[in-house]
Amino acid sequence: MNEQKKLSAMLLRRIGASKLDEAELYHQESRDLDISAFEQEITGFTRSRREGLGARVQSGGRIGSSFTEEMHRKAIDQALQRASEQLEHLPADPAQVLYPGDRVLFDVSRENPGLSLIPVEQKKEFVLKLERAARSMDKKILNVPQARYVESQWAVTVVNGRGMKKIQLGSWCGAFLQVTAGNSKQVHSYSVSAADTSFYELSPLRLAQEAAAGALEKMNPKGIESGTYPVVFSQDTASRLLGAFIGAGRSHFFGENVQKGRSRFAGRLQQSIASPLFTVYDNPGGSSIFSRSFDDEGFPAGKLVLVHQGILKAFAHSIYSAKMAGTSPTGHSMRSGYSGVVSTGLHAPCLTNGEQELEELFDICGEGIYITELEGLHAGLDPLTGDFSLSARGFRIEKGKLGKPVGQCIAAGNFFDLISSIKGKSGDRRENTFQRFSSPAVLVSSLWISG
Amino acid sequence: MDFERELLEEILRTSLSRGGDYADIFIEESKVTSLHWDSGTLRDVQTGTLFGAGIRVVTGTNFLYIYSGNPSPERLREMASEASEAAGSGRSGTIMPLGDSETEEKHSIQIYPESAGLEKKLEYLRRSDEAGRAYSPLISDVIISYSDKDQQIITAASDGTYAEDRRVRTRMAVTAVAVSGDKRESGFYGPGKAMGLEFFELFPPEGIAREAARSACVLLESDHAPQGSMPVILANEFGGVIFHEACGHALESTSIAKGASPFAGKLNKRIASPQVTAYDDGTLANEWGSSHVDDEGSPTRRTKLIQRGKLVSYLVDKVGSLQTGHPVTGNGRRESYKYPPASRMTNTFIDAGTHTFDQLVSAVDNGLYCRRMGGGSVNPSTTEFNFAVAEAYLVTNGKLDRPVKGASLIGKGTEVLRLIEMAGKDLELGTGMCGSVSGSVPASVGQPTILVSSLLVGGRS
Repeated sequence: MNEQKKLSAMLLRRIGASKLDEAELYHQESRDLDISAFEQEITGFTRSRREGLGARVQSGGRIGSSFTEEMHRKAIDQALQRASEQLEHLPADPAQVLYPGDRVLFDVSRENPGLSLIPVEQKKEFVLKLERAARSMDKKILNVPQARYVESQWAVTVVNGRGMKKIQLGSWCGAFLQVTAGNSKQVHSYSVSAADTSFYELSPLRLAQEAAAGALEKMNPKGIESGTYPVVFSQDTASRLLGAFIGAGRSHFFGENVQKGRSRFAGRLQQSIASPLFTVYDNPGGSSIFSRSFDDEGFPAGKLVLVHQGILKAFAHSIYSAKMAGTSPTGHSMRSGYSGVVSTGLHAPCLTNGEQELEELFDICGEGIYITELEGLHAGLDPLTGDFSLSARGFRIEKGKLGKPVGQCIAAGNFFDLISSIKGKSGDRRENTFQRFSSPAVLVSSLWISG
Repeated sequence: MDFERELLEEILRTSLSRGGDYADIFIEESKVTSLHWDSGTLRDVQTGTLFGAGIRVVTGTNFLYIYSGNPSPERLREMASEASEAAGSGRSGTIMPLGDSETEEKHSIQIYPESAGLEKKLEYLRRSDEAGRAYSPLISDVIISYSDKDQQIITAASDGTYAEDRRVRTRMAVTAVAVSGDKRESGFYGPGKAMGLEFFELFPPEGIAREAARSACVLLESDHAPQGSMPVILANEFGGVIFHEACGHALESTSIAKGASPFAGKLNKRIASPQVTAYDDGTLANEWGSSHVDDEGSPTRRTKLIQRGKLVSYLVDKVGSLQTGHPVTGNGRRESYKYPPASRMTNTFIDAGTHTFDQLVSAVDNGLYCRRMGGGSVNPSTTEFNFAVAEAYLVTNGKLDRPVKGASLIGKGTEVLRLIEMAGKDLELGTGMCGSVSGSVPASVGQPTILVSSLLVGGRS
């Protein structure tokens, strides 16, 4: 805590010396571990100590921003100086204000100190076991190109010249596993991952079973005739697709995009925008590794319902966009660490669970496709129009039952059409993944499939 | 940056003191500036310094890597001790005296970004914004990202390698939004070079914005792309992303060493059509993916990967060389000190062929011409790839027809390389950021215009 007092004192000096209205420091540090295994040897071992500091200064409706990885006093003062030098070049905007702060908060609720007490050798053994289990699942498993354990123990501190001090500690661990299966005529690959705050919740056997089954089930795929089909998205693919539109920077659910004229939902609060099955909220207080007590400007992060049963309820706001809209911030200021700039983001958003079993969704679907893998989300979708065209794999759904595997095909559609055509949801959303957005499996009435 | 050689040698000795065959140290100081312009005004400015170091110890073909910010001599010594403890006991490798950093200047910089004030950079943004809006009354918005990075590195290794390098890169990326009635589309263009601000003499900010605006306006007139397999003509420049994804990643020793690539064990075998000769060349003057040395201190080089369809080399870093026995090709790259290096592409391209653009188009009865590609990705284990098409045209009876949008292309690298039927004369390189095991690195992709006899197109009509 003494360190935070020093930083606050430094800010006060800088505010006084440079005639600033306000200044803020965002300090981030972490201890990370990354272990990989191949053919029962630890092939990669990376350990790190990372630290950095983002400095923002405010004067006359302008905010300057700089960062440094040098943690001595002179370097921090230089970062504040560089941020101050930007001010004269920036346009004045009355909404550009730093958060004055509310109360001192020291939140350790997401930290698992036990993670650092677990010996490194035990974590190495976890990776070896993961690789061994995957190889031994079936004779048709050809290779395990990736078996990896990662962990991070982090702390974020936000202080300002008015005495705001917010400190949040957290930790998480996770595993990645990729297997290939096949024979002389075909090779198929499948990847799985899991993330948790507890080391003991990670099960190498469960991951190995999931990865092996995923690769083996892809054997002897059939082509599919191009056309339109009803589609069931798995938990993972629904999470990734919906998250790419709802949680990404150009989301139509962000207040700043409404203000820029880039949200199709502008002026539609309390109106129907989607299927009644579409209820989406952000829950920073949940058990996800992305849960937080305050956002990246120090504003308290609370639950925010964006859409309830298809009715648009709210937009997510940063301090800036809330001021522009004349409303209250929602705790959704986000920056990609100390070196990033502040914009809007969601913490741990989700589509709520339905009440159906996956098999019931297949039954309702009748004849269609169950999509279990999607690729190309970073480039194959247009956030502005909602159009997407993505590489996909999965299974036929025939007479309401899961059928033969489908080889690589392309699924194309439009996000706005998709959320209006949700016909069913499963009840098994998972939060223990590296995906911020979590979704149950989802049945939609029609997508273009090219095969 | 000022680090005494004696200190570096001490760090290497400590790192190998309890065992390990090889050790290296990578120290980086990078100054970065990014500007974000949106809705006719400057929205964000970010400036800062990255400063850190990583120590790697290699035992057999396995590595351990310790990295940290603030690499004071004391911190480096702590890291070396930590590395030696983690490396465990065993035979220690030989430590050679550090050599000299001999790098002939190949990527000279005329105007270092730091030497120009913020106002100069803002002027480029204003000019770009004005030109984009002036292109057409349909253009409603121009979003501009400007970034520059001045990275200084030192790398020293127990095999005697010592290298210093300074990499300066400048990039401007423009997204133009066009609106007509209730239709709204965006176009993108984002070139970059290993240059200072002289980059804007090669790529005036107005030209970057006009190209993004042109693409956005074309998309407003576009119907949805068709679906199904068809002949596809892929334009030059960023069209080269197909080779980068479909083949390049699977030639990296990271994949080869684990037998996780279908190209493992295929040296001197035919893997592509005879139309294909391809290179990775990190020496191209001031090119986006170029540098004097790679991030292991090995000089970059021009590596022929495919000679008329026959595979002749992989992309190999130092650990990859130990694992595979293939010679180092100067491709050990990383985003920053926060990643251990891995085999990565620099500027990778299919070489020019002999055909004109008209010859390629006239060879297609019914197909697709992809003028501008978006990004893509690949699974190196299977070479199954996907690319987004940003701007495309139907080809009907050997002639360019109406524009179409919203397509992806998919296929297998091992198959598509054999389906390249014709290559044009018009080789150009395009700018990209490549994400993989050692982070996001600047990489150029390139090709002449090529004709692929069949690719699966995923449209909506």
